[in-house]
Amino acid sequence: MSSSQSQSPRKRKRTSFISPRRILIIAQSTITQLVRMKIFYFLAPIAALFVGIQFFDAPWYSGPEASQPQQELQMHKNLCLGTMMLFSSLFAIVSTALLIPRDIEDRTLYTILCKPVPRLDYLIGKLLGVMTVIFIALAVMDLILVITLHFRTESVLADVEPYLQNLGWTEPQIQQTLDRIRAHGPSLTLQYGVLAYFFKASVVAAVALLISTFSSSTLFTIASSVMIWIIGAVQNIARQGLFDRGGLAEDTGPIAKVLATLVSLLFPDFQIFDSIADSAARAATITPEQMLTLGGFTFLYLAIYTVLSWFVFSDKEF
Amino acid sequence: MGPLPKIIVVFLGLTAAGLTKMSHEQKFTEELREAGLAPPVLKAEQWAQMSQNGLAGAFGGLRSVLAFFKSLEAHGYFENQEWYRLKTSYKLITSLDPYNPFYWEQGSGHLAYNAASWARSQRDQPEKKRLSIEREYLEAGDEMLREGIRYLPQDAGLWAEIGRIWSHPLKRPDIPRAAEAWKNASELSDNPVYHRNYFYALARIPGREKEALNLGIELLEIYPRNLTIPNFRSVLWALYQNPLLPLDMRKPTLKQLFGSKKRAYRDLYNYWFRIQDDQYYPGDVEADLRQLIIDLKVPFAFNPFLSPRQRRIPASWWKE
Repeated sequence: MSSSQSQSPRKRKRTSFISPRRILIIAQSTITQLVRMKIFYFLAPIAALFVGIQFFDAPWYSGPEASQPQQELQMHKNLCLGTMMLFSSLFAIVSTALLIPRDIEDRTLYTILCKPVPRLDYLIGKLLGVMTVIFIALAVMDLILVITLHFRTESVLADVEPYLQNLGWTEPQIQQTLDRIRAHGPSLTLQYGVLAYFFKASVVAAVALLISTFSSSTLFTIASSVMIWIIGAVQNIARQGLFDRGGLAEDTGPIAKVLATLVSLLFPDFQIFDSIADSAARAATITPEQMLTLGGFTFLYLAIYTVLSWFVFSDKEF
Repeated sequence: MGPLPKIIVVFLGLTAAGLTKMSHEQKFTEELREAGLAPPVLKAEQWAQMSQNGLAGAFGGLRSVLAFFKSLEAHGYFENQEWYRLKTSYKLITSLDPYNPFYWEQGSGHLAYNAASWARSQRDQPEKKRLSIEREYLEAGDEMLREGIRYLPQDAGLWAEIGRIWSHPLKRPDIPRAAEAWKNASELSDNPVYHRNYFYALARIPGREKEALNLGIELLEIYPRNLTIPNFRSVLWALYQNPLLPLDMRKPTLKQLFGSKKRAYRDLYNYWFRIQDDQYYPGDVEADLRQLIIDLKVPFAFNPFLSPRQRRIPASWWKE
C-alpha cells in the first residue's frame, strides 16, 4: 500500500517539454567532448599567424607618407577577421557533423536517450556546446587580434605624428588625422565584426545539425554544409533578382527564376553577417540597432533549423 | 514517418520559413546597403572576371581579403607594365571592396600616372598614337575615381585625386575640370590644401579671375597662415592687379603681402616662370619685376629678362 502510494505521484510527474538544466548538462558534456578532440590546439597556429601578420606589409602601405596609413591597419583586420571567419565556420561544420555520429559510435546517445531526456533538449544542448566552444575560440583569437592591432596602431601613430608636424600641419589637422587612424585600432566596432562572425558560425552549426539528423554519413554532412555555407554567401544575389524589377528578374528565363526563388527560400543569407564584419574592418559606423537586427536574424535561423532538426530526429531509430 | 516524407516536410518547413524571412532579409540588406555597409550587387561581367579562387573568396564572405590579395597581384601587372590586365584587375578589386577609397585611388593612380607616363615614353610610336593612348589612360584614371565617388560620395580625397590629375603640370592639364574637382573636394573637407588648390585653379581660368580673388580674400580671412605660402601670395598679388576690379577697391601694398621687397622679388621671380609654363594669371607681374630689379639692383644672374632661368634664388640673397 505504502509503495503504491509513493509510486503514484512519481508516475504523475511528467518530463518537461524543455529543461534549461538538462540542456546545460548536455552542452557541458559536448564542450568536454570537443575539448578532448584537442580542437583548441588549432589556436596555436592561428595565434602565430596573427602575430606574423603584424610584420606583413604591402609595399604601398609603408611609411608615414603613405596616402592612407590606416590602410595598413585595415589590411591587418581584414586578414585576421577572415581567418576567424574561416576557422569558426569550418569548425562549426566539422564539429557538429561529428557529434551525433560520435555519440552513436561511443553509445553515449543510447545512454542519454533511454533516460527521460527529450530529443529537443539533446539537440539544443549539442548546438549550445558547439556554440560555446566557438565563442571561446573566437574570444581567444579576438584577444590576440586586439593586442597585435593595438601595437600596430601605436606604431603607425608614432610614424605619422612627427611626419605631419614636419610638414607644418596645424594641431587640429594632425589630431583629425590621428583620430582617423585610431578609429582603425581596437574598438567596439571591431567587436561587432567578431560578434557577426560568431553569429554566422552559430547558424552554420545549426545547418550542419539539421543535415546530420537525417544523414547517415559524416562526409555527406560536411560536404552539404560547406555547399550551404557557400550558397548562403550568394543567396542575396538570387534574392535581389526576385526583388529587382528590370534586373535579373527581367533578364533571365523561367528556370533561373525558379532556381533563384528556391535558393532565396531554402538558404540563409550569410552576406548580412559578412557585410557587418567587413564594415567593422573598415571602421564604418555600425549602430547597436543593426547589431540587434542581426542578432534577431541569427535567433530566427537557429530556431528554424533547430525545430526542423527536432522534427527529423524526434522518432529516429538507432 | 519514413525518410522521404520527412525530407518533404523539412523542405516545406524551410519554404514556409523562407517566405516569412525573405522580405525581412531583403529589407535589412537594403538598409545596410543604404548605410554603405553591404556591398553593391556584382555585375555579370565582374563575375565573369573572377577566377575560381576569386569566386571561392567572394562566396565564402572574404571579399575584402580577396581584394587585398588581388591588389598584390595587380602590383605585379604594374611592374610588368601590363596595363590592360592592371585595369581589369582594379575593376574587380574595387567591385570586391567598393567602400575602400584606397583601391579607387591606387587603381586610378596606376592608370593616370604610371600607364599614361608609359604611353608618353613610347618613342617608337607615332606621336598622335602616343598622345591618344596617354589621354585614354588619363581618362580611365578619372573615370575610376568618379566611379568610386558613386560609392563614397562624402570622400573629399577622391575629388582631390581628380583635381591632381587635371592640374598636374607634367601631364595634360585641364584646368576647368581640375577646378570643378577641387571645388567639390573643398566643399566636403576643411583641408586647406583643397581650398588653396581650388583657388589656384580658378585663378588660371580666363574670365574667372574676380571669382578667384574673392575666394583668395575669403581663404586668407579663414586661414591667415595662407599668407606664409609663396604661391598663394603671388597669385593673390597678380589677381589684385586685374584691371576689371573696381577702382575704389582697397588693395594691399607689396610690403603688406610679401613682407619685404626682396622676398617679393623672389616670389614674383618664381611666379613669372609659372606664368610662362603653366599659364597662371599674369596681372602686372612683369612690370613689378622690372621695377623691383631697378629698386633692388638685382644681380644679372637673377634677372629673368636677361639671363637663363635659375633653379631658385638663393636664400642668402633675399633674406639679407
